[in-house]
Amino acid sequence: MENVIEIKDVVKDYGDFKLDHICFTVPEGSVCGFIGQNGAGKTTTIKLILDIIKKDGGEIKVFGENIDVNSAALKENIGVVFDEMGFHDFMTAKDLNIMMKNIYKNWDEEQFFEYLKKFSLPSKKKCGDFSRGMQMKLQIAVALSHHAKLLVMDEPTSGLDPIVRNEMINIFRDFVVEEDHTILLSSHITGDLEKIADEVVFVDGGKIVLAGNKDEILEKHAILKCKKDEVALISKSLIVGMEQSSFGAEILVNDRNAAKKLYPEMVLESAALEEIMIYYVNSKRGE
Amino acid sequence: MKGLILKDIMCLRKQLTIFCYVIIGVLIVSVMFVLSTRFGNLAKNAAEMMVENSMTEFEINNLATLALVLFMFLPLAVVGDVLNVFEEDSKAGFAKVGGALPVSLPGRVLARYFSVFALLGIGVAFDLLIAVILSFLTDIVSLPEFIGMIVSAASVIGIYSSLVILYRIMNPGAGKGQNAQILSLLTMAVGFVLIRFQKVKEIVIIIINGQVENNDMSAERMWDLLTVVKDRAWIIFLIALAVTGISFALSLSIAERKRGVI
Repeated sequence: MENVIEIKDVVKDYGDFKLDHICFTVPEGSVCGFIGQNGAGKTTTIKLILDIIKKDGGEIKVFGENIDVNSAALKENIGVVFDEMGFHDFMTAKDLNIMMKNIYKNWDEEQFFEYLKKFSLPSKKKCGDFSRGMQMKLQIAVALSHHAKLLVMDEPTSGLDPIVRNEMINIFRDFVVEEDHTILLSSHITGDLEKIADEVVFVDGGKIVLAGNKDEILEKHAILKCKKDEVALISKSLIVGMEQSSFGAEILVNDRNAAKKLYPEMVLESAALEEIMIYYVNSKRGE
Repeated sequence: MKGLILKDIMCLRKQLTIFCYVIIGVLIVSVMFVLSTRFGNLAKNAAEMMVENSMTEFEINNLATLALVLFMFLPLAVVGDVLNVFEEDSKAGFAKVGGALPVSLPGRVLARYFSVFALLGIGVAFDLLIAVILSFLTDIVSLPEFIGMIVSAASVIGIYSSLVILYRIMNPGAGKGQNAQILSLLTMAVGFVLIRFQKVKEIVIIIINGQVENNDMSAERMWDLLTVVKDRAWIIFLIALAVTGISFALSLSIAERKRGVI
């Protein structure tokens, strides 16, 4: 399987925040969930992938080509959805169609209006009067109407109610039915990513903390429950993070099978992506 | 790039409506003005002033020309104000979306200049139409002189717009438009003083010494600029071309460094 996105040792230094030598890949045909808390570096990474900002070091390849060399041509195949709409409030979907058909070589007007119909979006209403859910759907309609092979989305589901979020996830699922379609989806709502992602990249404080196949990550990690006095018995190499309360301790371990073998008498529970994220962040903070 | 130009024109839709009103207004007022200078009250007043020797025919013609320059300038000033595009883009947060579109950075910068100059072109076309109509009604200014006035006005607006684009790319963000406007006007004023330093100095001295009314030579110096506007518009046009070229090159290099902020 080829990689659609390859990021090697990328650095972006803002002074007060640094994206520090990050590396990850997104295989073709996959949905990659880009997880991290607010301010972790997700948007900066996405801007770098789209060549909206200049990197200070490293290499970013999209579809096998350096993004900073052939940016405009590569973007023909990338659909983008941001957390905020970015289109002018006075514009209607019809106006956007006029604008986009003069920008994208492969703009499919018919498909765009089909998506508008599918998403129940009026074509003559100003998009400033749309609800947030409608604005996100409009962005998705634009992103999907030029036969993009890669969809890059920055927090598309944040601030949306669960029903609209579910609708959007179904739209993404439909998109990746095609084998050569790939999605990079950044979110801090891990529940959404658990539903749809094949790969997961977890960023925190400008560094990649964890990256790999989602199922493997979920299989490997587990929460081990034990008494407080048993904590000392747990091998430190297994511990990612720990939470202690008056009832005992909950430890996130990075090797479920090893933990099961070593501590058969202790309770092991599956960990959700959200829990994994919280334990990693807290352990980094030394809590 | 064409899509971005269309987007910019959509941003200026409000201005285009105002432009239509201004064109109609200017056409009506300027026709009334030239008819009045020929047959009406303005003609009567001018004759009285010449009899009383308070003004020469040359000065009266120049005053009327000045008014016509203003009429030609107004429609162009309306379409040439590029600031609204920047404000609308900042309000919408279009920079991110724009950066993700398959348009190269030079293409994006160029689109902004094209939008402004395309609108200026529309303004010039309508101005020419008014000039043709007026040239049939008045002897004060001939059609070639009208064309000179329009070229001068379009060049001045072109210089202003190019500077506004440059300053906005240097200092992006919502609500910073006024700074760009003030800086552009200041740059133009400084540029004008530097280019016409000797003339400006003479006029300032005359004004300080209070010789304006009595000295025919000083009046001629004062009207000298009007001659440039009418007869030597190509000078202003060449300056506009140079300023636009420099502004584009600087805007591009700044945008290259900043990325995604235009």
